[in-house]
This record gives sequence, C-alpha cells and structure tokens, in this order.
Amino acid sequence: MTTRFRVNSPSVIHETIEGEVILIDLKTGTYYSLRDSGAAVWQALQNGAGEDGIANELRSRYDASDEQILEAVRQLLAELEREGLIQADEDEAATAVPPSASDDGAARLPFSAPVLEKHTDMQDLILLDPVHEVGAEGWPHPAPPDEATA
Amino acid sequence: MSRTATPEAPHVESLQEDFERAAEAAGGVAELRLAVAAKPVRIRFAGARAAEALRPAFAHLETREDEPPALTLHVWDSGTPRAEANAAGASYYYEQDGVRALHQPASDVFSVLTAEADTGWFWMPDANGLPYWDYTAPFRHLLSWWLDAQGLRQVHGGAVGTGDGGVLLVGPGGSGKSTTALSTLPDQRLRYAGDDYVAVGSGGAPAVHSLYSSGKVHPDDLHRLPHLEPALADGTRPDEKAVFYVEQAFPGRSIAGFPLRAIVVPRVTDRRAARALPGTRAEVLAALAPSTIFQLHPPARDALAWMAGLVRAVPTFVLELGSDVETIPPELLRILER
Repeated sequence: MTTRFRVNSPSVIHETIEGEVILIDLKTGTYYSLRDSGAAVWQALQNGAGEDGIANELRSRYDASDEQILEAVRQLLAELEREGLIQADEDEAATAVPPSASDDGAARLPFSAPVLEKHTDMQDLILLDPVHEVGAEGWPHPAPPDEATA
Repeated sequence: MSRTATPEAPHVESLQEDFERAAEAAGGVAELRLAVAAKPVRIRFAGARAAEALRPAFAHLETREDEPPALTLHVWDSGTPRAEANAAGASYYYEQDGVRALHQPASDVFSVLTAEADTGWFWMPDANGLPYWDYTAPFRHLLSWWLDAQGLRQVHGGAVGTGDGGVLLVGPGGSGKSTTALSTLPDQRLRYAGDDYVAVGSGGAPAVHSLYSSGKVHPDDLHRLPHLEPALADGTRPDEKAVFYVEQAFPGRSIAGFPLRAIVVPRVTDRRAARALPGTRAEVLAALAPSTIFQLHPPARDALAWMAGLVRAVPTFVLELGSDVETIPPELLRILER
C-alpha cells in the first residue's frame, strides 16, 4: 500500500484547461500552474494514485528511467505538500490506477521533470484588502451601541 | 454603525428605518432608475447630495422605464467626512439566513443584501468622501451578490466592443486593461463597457453587461492617452488615479453590453505597434480568475470552474501593447472580425 494524497480543500481550488492545471490557494493568494508531466502527476493524484501509481502513469507516457521518474514524482509531491496544496491521506490506500497510455514504449514523449510555477502577484491584494468571514462572535470592531447611524 | 455590533443577522427593518430618517433629514429620496444587465434596478438615495456623488458612474444605464425593480438599493450617509477615507484595509463578511453583509472598517462602508437578493442597503460616512475605487464602482459588492442571484458574475476586467460583439480584457491591476479600454474612445467604431469591473453571463451565448461608465488611469500613463485630459474629473488628488466618466466626456460612446466574442489578455511590451496573438486558454484563465476571485467578497470557490467554462466558450488572445496606443483599436477590431 502506498499513501495517497488529497487536495487541501476547501482553501485550494483547481481547474485543468487544455492540459494545464491552474491551482489557487484562497488563504494565501498564491496561484500555481502545472504543465506537461506536472499536469500528468496532478491528474494521477486526482485519480487516487499514490507515489508508485503516479510514477507508473508517467512511465507509460514518458521516455525516462524508472529512477529519474520516481525522483521527479517525489520532488513534486514534496513541493505540493510544502506549498500546502496537498496532504498525505493516511487513512486511504492508494488505488491501483491502470496507466492511461500504452505501456509498450512505442510512442513515449521526451521527459522533462515537472515544474510547479508559482505566482505571488495576488498577495498584495490579499494584504491590502483581506476578507474575513465573521463568525458568531460578531463584527470584530463594533461601534459603541449608542452611536447614531445617520 | 450600531447595527454592526450585533452578532445576529443585520436587522434589515431597522436599516430601513435609518434610511428613511436620513432621507427625511436630507430633503427626501432621490431615485435613480437603471437597467443593469437589462434588468430594472432602482437606487434610492437619501437626498440629492448623495445621489449626485455616485450617479455619474451609472449615467449610461439610466432609464425612464418604470418596471417593478429586480433590485432596490437604499443609500445614505451621515455627512461626516473621515480624515483617512482613502485608507484600504480588511473587509468583514457576514452571512446568516441568506442575508449578506460586508463592513469595510477602513472606509467604514457597510453593505447589506436580503436573502431574496432584491433589496439592499449601503451606508457610508460621507458620499463625497469615498475612496476613488469605491466612487468609481459604487455598490460593487452588493451588485456582485445580486448578479450571482441572477446567474451572472462580476469579473475583474474591462470590456469594449460594438453592438454585435466585444472583447473582455482581463489581467491583474497594472497589466494594461485600462489603457487598452480607454485607448478605444477616439475610435468611433468601438464602444466602452468598463475598464475594471463588468458583469458576464455564460449561459448559451456568453455576454458582457456594463456596470460602470467610469474610467481610471494612472497619472504616469496619462501622456499615452492625451484624448482623456480634457475629460478628467475635477479634484483628483495627486496620489490617486485620474478619474473620468465616459458618458459625460464622450456622450454616446459607452454601451450597456454586447455578446462576448473573445477574451483578451493585454501585456505591456517594448514594441511600437500593438499586436494580437492567439493565447492559450490556461494563460487567459490565469489572468482572469485569481484577480477576479480575490476581489469578490467573500472569494467564491466555484468561480474558478465557472470562469474556466467561460474561457472554453470563446477564442482567447494575448494583446501585446506597444508605445503607440493608436494601434490598439485596429487590433481589437481585427479580433472581432475573425
């Protein structure tokens, strides 16, 4: 059994469009993108694959040594965890995901290690105008109750 | 405001009483009838002074139609200027039983919308003292919540086009949205739907609906847009963006909306002439979604999937901006002709 991972919902949202993944961390304002082999890792992770399953998926698509692929997968998973985008889900066993591409080595793509592109330009906006959802304790800075409204 | 002190849902009955008292003290209600996204919206100001301060942003949407409103907003102030009205700061969002409320302590602005999304209240300390990002886009959060209830979305983007169709200009602040939108004003073929916030409907045929006729430009960029100088609103402070109202300065050049034909990401380059290139859907989504989501209060989780659907529905372009802004409108027209 290998550990599977899950997306850090609800603070992390993501969408895959034309094979590229856009991830947004609503807590920090940071957003990310993953392409090519990175998007393939994300897709396998979404399908419930653990580290080994993700590596198998990449092996079926890309022309690289087992060690090269496993190392790249480990690094990306560690980075996604470090950025708070995913977390290991100890309670759930990874599902064995059959590789989506043929495994005969005929049409594999040249491999380059996945890159998590990180964009921090929204953080200023969050710092300037953060939105706090107010709980049962009420507004954090209430005016004195006797203050006239208008 | 005393209402902000309670942990319960805002008391809409007492808000209404406060508004009516303020209106009586200010000499009556000044009513503005608008068509926003083709729906009747009525804005009831306590007194003419508050109405005059915020009316110019909606001049292009005013109507004489007297249909029952889909939304009625009540707007009042206490006429007490704040020393630091231009301060930005945290917003506090509160929702209970469907009633939504937002308090922005830095400017002390307060917005409330009923669960039915048909009636709202907006209170501010001084109608003439709002920060420029508020008076150029009044009631932005109330309208955003109301648009959600109509199946529409407020997005962070500019829009220009013709009655047959137009483009949505997307990207974070400083990416060239305003410059691109405002560059089209001397071109008689294109009309203006906004430079910062517009409403978008994605059902069937996506469409853009204008919200504000205001335009804002950073003082450093003004030399590129000399046609705007005579139009600038008085009283712009040196630390603010230069503000003007398209419907006042260029009568008839704004437009209430159009079918969405393309989404365009402007990008500042060191070229001379502007040039439109195909853009990937992912780069367009990355330009549109984060800056929209983080300006919605509260940030909407489902907005990303919704915007991805929008980006898939129309062609996407990158518009490389050059030093010669007169070359921008022909490139936009070329996109619209494709």
